[in-house]
Amino acid sequence: MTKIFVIEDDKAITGEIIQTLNKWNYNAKTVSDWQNIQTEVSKFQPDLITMDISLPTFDGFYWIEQIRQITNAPIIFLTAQSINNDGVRALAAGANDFIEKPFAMDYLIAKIQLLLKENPASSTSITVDDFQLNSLTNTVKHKDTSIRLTPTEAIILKILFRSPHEVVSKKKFIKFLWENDQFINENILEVNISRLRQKLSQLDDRKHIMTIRGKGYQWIN
Amino acid sequence: MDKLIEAVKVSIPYIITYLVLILVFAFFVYLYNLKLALILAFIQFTWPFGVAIVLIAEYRYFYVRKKLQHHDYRQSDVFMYDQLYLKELQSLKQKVNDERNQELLTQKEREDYIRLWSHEIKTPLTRMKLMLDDDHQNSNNKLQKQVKIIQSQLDLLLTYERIKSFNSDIHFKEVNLREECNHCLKNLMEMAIDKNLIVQNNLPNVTYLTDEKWLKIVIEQLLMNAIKYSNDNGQIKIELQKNVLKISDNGIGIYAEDLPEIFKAGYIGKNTRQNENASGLGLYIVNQICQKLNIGINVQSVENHGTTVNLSLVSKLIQK
Repeated sequence: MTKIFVIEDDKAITGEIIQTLNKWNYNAKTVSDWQNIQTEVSKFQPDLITMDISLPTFDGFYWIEQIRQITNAPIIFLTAQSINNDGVRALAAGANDFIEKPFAMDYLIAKIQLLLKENPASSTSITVDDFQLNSLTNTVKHKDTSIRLTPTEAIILKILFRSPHEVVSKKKFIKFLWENDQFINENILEVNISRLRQKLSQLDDRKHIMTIRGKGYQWIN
Repeated sequence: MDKLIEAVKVSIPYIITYLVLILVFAFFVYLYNLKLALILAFIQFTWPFGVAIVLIAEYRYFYVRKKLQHHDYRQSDVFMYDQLYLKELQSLKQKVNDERNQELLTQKEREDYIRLWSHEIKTPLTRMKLMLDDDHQNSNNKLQKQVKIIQSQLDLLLTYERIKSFNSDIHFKEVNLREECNHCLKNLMEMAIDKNLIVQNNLPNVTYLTDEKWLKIVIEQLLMNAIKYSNDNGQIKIELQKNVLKISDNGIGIYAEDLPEIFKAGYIGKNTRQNENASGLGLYIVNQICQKLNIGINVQSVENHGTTVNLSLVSKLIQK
């Protein structure tokens, strides 16, 4: 299991982060002895470290330097305010990425996955039920026939493929689309879903995108 | 010329006194039936003293005048009466200095306190946000939105404090306008999605030489306003026309009589809904920053139709 070391002194925040990391199947641990952070890091040998800017002894910047002396594992820095350029300072001190508080766990997970190069979104091809989606070319292939999708349609299909046979709420679609620079609303989402359905029907007679009333959409086989 | 007039004014009381003295002497000469030549002798004898006294008076006058010009309130080198006034002036000056130093100290303490406070308050905010993320209920989107509102008000307050030291806080670089807008939109995602809004970012891929963090504050505030004052299912457009960056919405707009006042600190328009969070600081800060970045800002609006904010980018835009 991938090991993540969480350097954070607020107990509530640490609790939430570790709980979520464990849910995502990471082996997450936090600091037990603030006097011996370096020793703990070298014993645990984490694959990734998250570190807060405000810590009980010294500050995050100091500790980045200390930790860089014993490991090259990626470090994600938690900053307080972007206007202070804390993030840029952190990068200069040796961190790999930074995230501003308060942040959404999804966002932190995405950054962790990116740094550990295990982000399924960065893989260009996803296959579900004999349908293969290529997110670089925005094409979907089924039994030797390919059709071209618009970027929006491709992203929608990607979301469905990431949780196949599960209901995905409209809000989740819209949020994910916004994160990919598609600033659409529900109506446009519906239009795209019906266009996607039309295109898929060119590949296969069976209906694959089901509307679950009041809940969202689901990919079925 | 003015100095001459002043010098004459200074000498007048002494001249009058001297003349009165002569008159009194003349009167006594007359009273005691003495020779009239006595008066002449008197004048012949006393006029040098009169001139000397006037000269001393002039010297004293211009000496003190020069001291005051140089704000030199030391009392060691002046006459008794002048000492009284100079002493008072000195103590007043000291008082003003003390008060000013006290003000500066209070201001610095306040700045430090606000910075510390903001770091502290980020902790419960972060906790709240993480707890809400964890708990997937429909109602928590509203709570998430509230967390976002708190966060943006907090950032606004800190920005307001930080503007005071703007000139020492500026770093120019080529900023990609399109990317910057996308970044801001993602920050404001929750508010916008809540109202089912569409945003069209039609900006071309150009860069602009300016300070990135201050520009980001301007853009984010303007986009936040566009979202706040949009109706449900509304649309926001971002485009570049010649050298003007336009952010427009089709929301509730601004009343004509409010338009001239919108950049004033604390001003909240009549068209603001009761339940919308408005501190009146947003546009004030935007205006301050635009002035310092040399970006022209102009707002057009029609009530119930929408608002367009135009930012005139004076520097060159570089196509990428």
